[in-house]
Amino acid sequence: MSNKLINWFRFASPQAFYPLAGRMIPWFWALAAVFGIAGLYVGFLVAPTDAQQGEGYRIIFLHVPASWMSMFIYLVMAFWAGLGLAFNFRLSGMMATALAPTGALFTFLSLWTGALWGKPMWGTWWVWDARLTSELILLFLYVGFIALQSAIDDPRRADKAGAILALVGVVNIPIIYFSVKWWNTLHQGSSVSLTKSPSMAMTMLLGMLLCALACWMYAIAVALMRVRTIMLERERHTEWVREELGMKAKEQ
Amino acid sequence: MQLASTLNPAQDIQPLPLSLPIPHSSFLTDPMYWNSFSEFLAMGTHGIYVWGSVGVMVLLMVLEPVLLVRGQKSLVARLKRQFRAEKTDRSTQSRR
Repeated sequence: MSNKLINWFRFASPQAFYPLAGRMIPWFWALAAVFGIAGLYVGFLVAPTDAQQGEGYRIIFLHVPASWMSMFIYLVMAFWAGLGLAFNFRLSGMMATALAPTGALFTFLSLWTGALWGKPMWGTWWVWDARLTSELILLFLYVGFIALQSAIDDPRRADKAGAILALVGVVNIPIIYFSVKWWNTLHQGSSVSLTKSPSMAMTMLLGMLLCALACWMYAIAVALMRVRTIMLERERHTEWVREELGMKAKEQ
Repeated sequence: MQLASTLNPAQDIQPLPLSLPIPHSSFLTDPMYWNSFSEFLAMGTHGIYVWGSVGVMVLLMVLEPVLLVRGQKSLVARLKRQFRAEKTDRSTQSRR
């Protein structure tokens, strides 16, 4: 039991995690490509048209995965930030910092694809309804987190300040998710629910889930790439970074 | 939701369906939905919205990893230069 715990915590040190992440990245890229191609094939070439929305509904295959990722990445980021705040692990602060730009990217894409979907269906790019406004606040939370961290020179203090912002912002996630239930919004209700059987055609659901899986794999690959850069930067004064770059420090 | 008075116990207590309510889909053998490439490009009347979404999403999801690879490479190069400079500093000091 205790041996297993030690083995797990070994990867919590940047020194052990850096090469491990490097080996995992190509696999996540491969999976992202496979799921992405399959998802776009099903969604854009096979899936039938929507009775109400015509072909414009195909934006769902991008919009829903992007929106899911925007919320999920925030939760993961806040989890790592909170872990760093509580236990002061070096790795957790780096993980939170690495996730923020990718989360912001997916939030922007959710708003962008949503606007391009809203225009033909609702006749407007934007409305200040609960779902759209809370998603915009999510973008501001990500941008605020990134700006706050980059404004503080000491990385450990930047991690702490960012963690508090990230944890306070978590309250926004259930607001986004349940906004279509709590308020009357122009935004349609959830497309997929765990409690009801799917209301959409099977092919559509399959295409959407494949695209969502592709976004997951993409997000993991990109976050691992970024965390490796952050590790080298922050740990540049340590021995392991020199060894990793093939430079022995104490030769002379 | 049914009212209690209308409940029929015999109907109500049923074993859970063994198969999950996921209908099968044969997307690999399903025919393509489109008749022609121009029809595919037009997306009904929504071409600009659909392709505007696809274009920006693909662009950003290609740009992000490209920038990350470049950032990693320039950082590695910078650190290597720095380490090499420190090493020559030390060796010239020891010769003196």
